[in-house]
Amino acid sequence: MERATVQFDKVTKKIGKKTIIDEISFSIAPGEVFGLLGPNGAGKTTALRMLTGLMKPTKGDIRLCGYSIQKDFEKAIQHVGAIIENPDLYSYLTGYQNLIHFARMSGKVNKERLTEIIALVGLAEAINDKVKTYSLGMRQRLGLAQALLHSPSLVVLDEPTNGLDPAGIGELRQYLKKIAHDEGVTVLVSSHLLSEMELLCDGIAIIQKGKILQIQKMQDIVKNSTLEEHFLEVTDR
Amino acid sequence: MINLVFNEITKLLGKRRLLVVTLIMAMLMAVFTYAQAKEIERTRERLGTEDWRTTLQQQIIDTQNRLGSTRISDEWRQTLQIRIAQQQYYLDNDINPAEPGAPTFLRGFIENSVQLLLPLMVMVIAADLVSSEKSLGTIKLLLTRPVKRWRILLSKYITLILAVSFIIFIFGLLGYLISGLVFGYKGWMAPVISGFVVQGGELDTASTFIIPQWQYLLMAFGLAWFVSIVVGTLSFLLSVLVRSTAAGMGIMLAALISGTILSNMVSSWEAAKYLFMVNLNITSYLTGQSPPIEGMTLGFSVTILTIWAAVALFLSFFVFTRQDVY
Amino acid sequence: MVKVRQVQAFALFAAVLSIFWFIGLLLTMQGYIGSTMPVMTPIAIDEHSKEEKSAIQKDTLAVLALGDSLTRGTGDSTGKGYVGHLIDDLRQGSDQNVSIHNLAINGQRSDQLAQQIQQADVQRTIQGADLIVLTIGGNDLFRRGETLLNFDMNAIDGYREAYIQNLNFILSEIRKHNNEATIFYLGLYNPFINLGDSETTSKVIREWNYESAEALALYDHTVFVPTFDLFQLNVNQYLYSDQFHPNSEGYRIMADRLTSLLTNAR
Repeated sequence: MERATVQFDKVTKKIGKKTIIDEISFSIAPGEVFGLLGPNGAGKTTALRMLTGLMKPTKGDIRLCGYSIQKDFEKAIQHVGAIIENPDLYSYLTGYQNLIHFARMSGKVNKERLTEIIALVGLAEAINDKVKTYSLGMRQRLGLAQALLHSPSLVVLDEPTNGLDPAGIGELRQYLKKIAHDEGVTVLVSSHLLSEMELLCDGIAIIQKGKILQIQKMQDIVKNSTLEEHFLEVTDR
Repeated sequence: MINLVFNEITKLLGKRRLLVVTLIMAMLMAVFTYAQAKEIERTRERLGTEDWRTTLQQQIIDTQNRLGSTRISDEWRQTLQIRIAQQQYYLDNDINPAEPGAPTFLRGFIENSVQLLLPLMVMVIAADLVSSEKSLGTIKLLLTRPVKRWRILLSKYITLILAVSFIIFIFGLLGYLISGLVFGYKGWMAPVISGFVVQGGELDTASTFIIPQWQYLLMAFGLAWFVSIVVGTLSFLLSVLVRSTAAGMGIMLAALISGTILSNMVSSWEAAKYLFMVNLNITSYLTGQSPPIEGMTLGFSVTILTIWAAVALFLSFFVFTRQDVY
Repeated sequence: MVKVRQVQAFALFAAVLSIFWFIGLLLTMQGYIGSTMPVMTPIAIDEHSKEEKSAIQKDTLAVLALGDSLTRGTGDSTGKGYVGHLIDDLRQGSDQNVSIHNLAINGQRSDQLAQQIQQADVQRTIQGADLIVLTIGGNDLFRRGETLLNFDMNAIDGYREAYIQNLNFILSEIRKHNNEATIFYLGLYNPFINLGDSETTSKVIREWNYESAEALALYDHTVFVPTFDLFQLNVNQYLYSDQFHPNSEGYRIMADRLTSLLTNAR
């Protein structure tokens, strides 16, 4: 079997006495677009924070491309591009400076790649303006640019469609599918927008109150019903 | 690592905090230059002479008369007595303690700024180095790069040191340029007496030495730099610990101000000498004023401040590399 | 916009500065803790400052005030004292620049003044003075009120003899350094003239003043300026709330007397 890009192994996170994530395990294969689905407060963002090393699991281990995020942080994280929650960038710097900033930290990013990625997210005209002048959609796209900058093999997006107009959502979806299926990039998306997930994902995990209720291939779900009906059915149990 | 430092400098310059600090200092310099010029003018009018010996002698006599008052605290009396002894020493050695000129202004200004003004300016920079990343949310992007957390924090700390050096330089440059407009730009070579030791409330002149003013200034600025780094390090720790820059600044501000108050009233509470804020007025050892608490020396203060900074630095790294980021 | 080049320049510059300040710190630590700083003898004082001084003195009337709290101006709410009023008058009266050197110390006795004028810098000031005003002896006599509490004529005679000796020394010292300057000595007044036993106290003070005037007469260019009569009537009007020092008004009339003497002399 091919080595999984993301592997959660009985991961638990407690903050104080409260259990946020309770022994979740799942894995995502290379080139898969995978959705974490759940109501607000289910633990999606916490799971993604642990995945990116921002938080440490209380128990269990997370492996990215085979490297433990805790023991081999640098090796594990270098394959990851992420936007956690909002695309928070340095508003007092220009778009270009923001990208340079993150390029310096990742190494192996050259000028051509920068130009390419700026064109890709459609910010070529505004890239030398300060980020504080950007609209939410532009920030979202700049956030995406910094996540894709170093050609990661895993892209983690938390609520990626926030603030994007319908056309932008469509473009993003196309692009994500393209890099996943053509370049073998794994995409991990969290969202509570069921219709969007239905169009985007190959597989989903439904998560509620820190527990994974179900992991399924999208095609198996939509065979019988819509994702929405399925979701309600699963979370009602 | 150098790229990380470049990143931090880019952000520092982008935030324009240095610019704000520079402007604040420029304004204060102008105000103090004006005040000083007025003061000199008034003394000249009162005494009808510009001769510094006259002025100094008059100061000594004036202070002696204050000593005569019965309503004067023992500590203050001691401070005044030391001041008289020192002025007399200058007079006896025929050295003007205040050779007119920008360097002399600078000397007085750094001595008065080292306890509060410079630490405040440094704090403005240091207090948001980490916490602003947290409040902006950019820390999530910063920490999801293939760079270990301690390296990120170290790059920030190096930037802090660079910024402190720069602030001290700007302080000197502005002070020199602005006060020079009024007092003239000469006086680097004027002799200054240093090395006074205050022991048991008495002024000991046995180990004094005379150095040119530029050297004295270099020493004073070196000390100011050291103090600023220490205050910067403590603010840096707060920046790591708290999410809000304002809260960090508030805590540091309270500590600094309590330091200036404590220095004036803690002579009976001896353990207070281990507090960092009581040790900040470090250039007073160069001028030979009586320390706030008996037994404090330059070596003592430097040691205490170093320990505080080292502990703060250790805690900063300890917490930063372990804490969960929300 | 912050350019990459600017960032690099800043980093380099600030790094150099850091080293520079660190050297300054090391220098300090070496000087204070290693104590390897050579103890240097004073560098030769630039001569021009002394020349400057004499240049100033030429077109300036240099007034030197010596003595005790009266010369200091204790009790005057304006802070001027008779010296301040005198200087004001002198400055108003002519275009000449007037410099003032008030070396009086509160509570000073004649023996302390005798010591004070032996200091090198005081002597230098004496040399440069054109006019010297002096009050001394009040503290020798009253001893902060002790004399009145334990009134003893024998003790007072002792005080006076010692005082006259000191006064002689003071005057001769001044004359040693300055032959020209006129010395105005202001005599004592009786602040207790309204109290009981004023006959005795007034007598003591008159004797004291007499002896002082006699001593003064031994030296050239000396003027004994009486104040006894100024405070003889209406003493309360001219005294400060401590019933000892003059108030603003009191100093004013003392200054008036001096001013009239000076304008007559010139």
